[in-house]
Amino acid sequence: MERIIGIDLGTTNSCVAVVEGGTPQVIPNKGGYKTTPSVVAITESGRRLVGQMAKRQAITNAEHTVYASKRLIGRTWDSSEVRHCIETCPYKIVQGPHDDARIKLRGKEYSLPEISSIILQEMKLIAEEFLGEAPDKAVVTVPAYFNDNQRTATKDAGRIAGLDIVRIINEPTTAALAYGYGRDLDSTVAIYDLGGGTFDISILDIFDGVFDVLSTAGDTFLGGEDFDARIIEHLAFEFAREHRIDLRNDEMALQRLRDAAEKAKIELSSMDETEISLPFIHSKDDGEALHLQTTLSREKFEELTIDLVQRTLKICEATLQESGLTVDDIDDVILVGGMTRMPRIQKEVKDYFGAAPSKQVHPDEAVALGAAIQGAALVEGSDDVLLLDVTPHNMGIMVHGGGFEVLIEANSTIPTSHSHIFTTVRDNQTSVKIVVLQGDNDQAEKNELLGEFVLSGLRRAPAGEVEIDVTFEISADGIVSVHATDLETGKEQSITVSATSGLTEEEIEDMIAENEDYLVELKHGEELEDQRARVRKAIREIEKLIDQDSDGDEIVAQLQQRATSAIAEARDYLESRDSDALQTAGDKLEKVLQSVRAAVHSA
Amino acid sequence: MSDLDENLAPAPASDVDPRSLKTSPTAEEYFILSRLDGAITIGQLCKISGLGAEKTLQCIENLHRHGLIHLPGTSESPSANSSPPSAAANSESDASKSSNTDELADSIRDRFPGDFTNFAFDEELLEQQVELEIDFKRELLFVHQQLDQIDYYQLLGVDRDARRRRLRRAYFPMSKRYHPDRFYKKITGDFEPIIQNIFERVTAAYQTLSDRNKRAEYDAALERGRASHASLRGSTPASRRSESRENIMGDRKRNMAFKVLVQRGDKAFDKGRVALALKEYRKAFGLRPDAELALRVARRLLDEQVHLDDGISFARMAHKIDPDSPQAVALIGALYEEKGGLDDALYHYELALESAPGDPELTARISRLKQALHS
Repeated sequence: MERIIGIDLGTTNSCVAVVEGGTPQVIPNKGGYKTTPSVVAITESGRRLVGQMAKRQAITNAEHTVYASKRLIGRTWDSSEVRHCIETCPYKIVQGPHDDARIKLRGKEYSLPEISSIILQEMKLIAEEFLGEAPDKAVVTVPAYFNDNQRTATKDAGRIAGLDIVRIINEPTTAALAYGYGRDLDSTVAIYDLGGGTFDISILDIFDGVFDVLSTAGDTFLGGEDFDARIIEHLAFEFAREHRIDLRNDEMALQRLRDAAEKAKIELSSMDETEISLPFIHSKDDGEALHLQTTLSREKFEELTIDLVQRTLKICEATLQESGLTVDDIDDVILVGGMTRMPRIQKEVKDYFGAAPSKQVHPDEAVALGAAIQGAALVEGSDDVLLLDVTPHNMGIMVHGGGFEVLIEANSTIPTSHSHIFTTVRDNQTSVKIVVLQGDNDQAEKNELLGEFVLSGLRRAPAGEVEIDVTFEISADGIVSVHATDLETGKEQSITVSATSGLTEEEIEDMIAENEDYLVELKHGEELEDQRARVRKAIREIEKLIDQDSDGDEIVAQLQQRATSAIAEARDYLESRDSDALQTAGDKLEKVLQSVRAAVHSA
Repeated sequence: MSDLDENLAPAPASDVDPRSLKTSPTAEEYFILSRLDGAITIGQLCKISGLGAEKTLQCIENLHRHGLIHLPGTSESPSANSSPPSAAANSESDASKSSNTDELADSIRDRFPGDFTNFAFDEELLEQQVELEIDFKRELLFVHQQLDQIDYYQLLGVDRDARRRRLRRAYFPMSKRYHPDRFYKKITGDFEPIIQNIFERVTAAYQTLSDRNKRAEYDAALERGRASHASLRGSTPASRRSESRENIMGDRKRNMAFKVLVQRGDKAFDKGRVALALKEYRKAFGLRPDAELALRVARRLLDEQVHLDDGISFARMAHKIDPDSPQAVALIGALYEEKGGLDDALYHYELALESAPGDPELTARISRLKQALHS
């Protein structure tokens, strides 16, 4: 049966789920954990590490370990987020060929979609082990406020990993699916989603299995990592006051601070205060070791981060207004994202909405579960669940004078389309350039560029006489296409607006091939390892047997000689990558082993 | 003692306020209620509640009877002495679901002016090999061709004073019916844009009518009786202009196409290829329901004594457009008579006579028929 898995590709953690026999369930990874850290590392030997393995070695391999890459995906080189990351991240960010950012690891430049593809690959593998077959289709979630470039980059990541991402859907929306699936609801709910890197709020109307997104908004620069950063700052500041040393300039110390901050944050969700103990955090030039030993109270933590919490509530208010509702209209508030475990956040949300948030869904798993539910609904064509998703940003075009004319408003239910007639603005104008943009600013240049195209061959005429009909369409899978027709000549032109993920088609294909090569190589390496282990084991056993039996028996002596030479021969191949030779050597040794065993037993 | 499935995971009902109940739950029941989250199963709860299995089950049953919890897979209106086996409950809800769907289909058809059984469907599209039921294909064409002929209220099947609750009750099932996601795995061919168009229009209707400002604007435009419905979509002056422009262009194109189709039909008829001719006429009729055309076609079929059933259907179309004219009804009668359906013929002649009392031709036919029927 065809299956579409659901993947929550998070800033700090990722999660994969599937619907089995009508029940959505999260698939645990090999370690038994339901979430996998979104961390990728390249080891000295060029091996890729993902998840817990990558996270664990981050301290010793900070420069070649990438975390929170989701914050960079689909962003341009000169964006503030890339600037910020260059300053604060231990890994090296360089400029890519298409005005994009790339990460340099072990001398090789990786695009952001490639980094994400490594994580997606891992999630795919987790699903494969559970399902017994490799899934090739997935619904992947992104923060509601991701723009088209970020979505496209995520889609490209899927392609590189060999996964067809059939839908990109918004995280809070999927959380709502997980909340309402299989329950006969008739209610208006708010999803407050504070994850590792982003904050999203969505208001949905749920009735008769239909999940209608009324409005959605968010902040892609606000998440759990900002809470961690406040703790890091605080710790570094206190340390600097005492020792006059800024720990943040020391890569290793910073990494340890980061781990400690995250741990402290998590502990403060259940405790009133927590010990932070980082011995030998820094060695002074004179060799003296410095330790960081302090306690952090929940109260202090709340004080350090209260402005962040308030920022989320401001966005909630704007979103409610946008959907024409008040807090009284909200029947239930659902908390999603690990950060919502913070008691202060629960309290503030409760105070704001006037009701205790629902505990129906698991904050770490709801998003992946919802994605799997949507995947299953698509495959089955069932009418139990229908998601009416919206486009989160205004879409439109640049008009004369650099203005931005909105054609499809934010929060329009998709699929949707809109037609508009444009006229020439100059006498004898024979072509028009249509610049498609996405964003919320009145000025064209302050919005995200989605694409541009030129309609040429217009009749020479006074300004305003020639009319061009331009139709914009967003399909159910979020793909934007623009269709222009010269009304006089009937000449048509249409493009599918391919948002720029920072990669060309050719590059993506190269990356797909490279990834496949890597996987083949990896598989080959594993095979070799197995064969070597078999050879080593045979050698060990033979040696044990011939050691014990070294009297002057002639047959035994002959056997011994045969064994010794077979061992010597096999040892030559042990370091080689010749799979056939290793196989032959292994077979030979096992035969020898049998003879030796037989001799020993008969003796 | 209890037939509750211990693998069920009850969830608290968010819509019921325990304080509003006549008999308030006991502290024990309340305690159990506070443990429920829709994830923990009844079996698990029995083990951890500290009240023992029997007591715990009793509490759950009481809570369920009060309507304070939902039990997945069981009927939502439980009776105290027996809860129906879940399989039966499912099949029951399936049956009601499918009849709901049929009801919806009927209700949607009734919202449009055309006559569904005699609608001039685009035969070529109907025959296209796609993974859609024939009835649904017909519905899609029927709805799509007439989208511009009804207003948003009619489209959603709601009264002019419908409020938000009523609107969403009307819209949600329709959105489920026409959302492209429902056909994700299906080959829909040329029906794909049709489905999307219908969904977009239904959504526009819902969104316009549920937004106070947009609705006021829309109502005002309806009041002004602005020419065609299409010109009412959108709210900015620019978009309105573009829509009406599109519509004028569309009308011109449509008239051209209508004429071409009628000519093609006539030509085919002249050559004796009646079936093909009828197909062309039907297409033309789909573009513009024209009573004159329908009458002309029906009469010619009668004259040449071919495809009499089609003749009846064309005559019915004419009657539907202009119900007061006796011509169409008389023609139906004549067609039946030719077919040998004398009772039906008599009925229609008499019906026609009601709109044209004393018509000598009709009177003569009626008496002739009565004689024939008696003998």
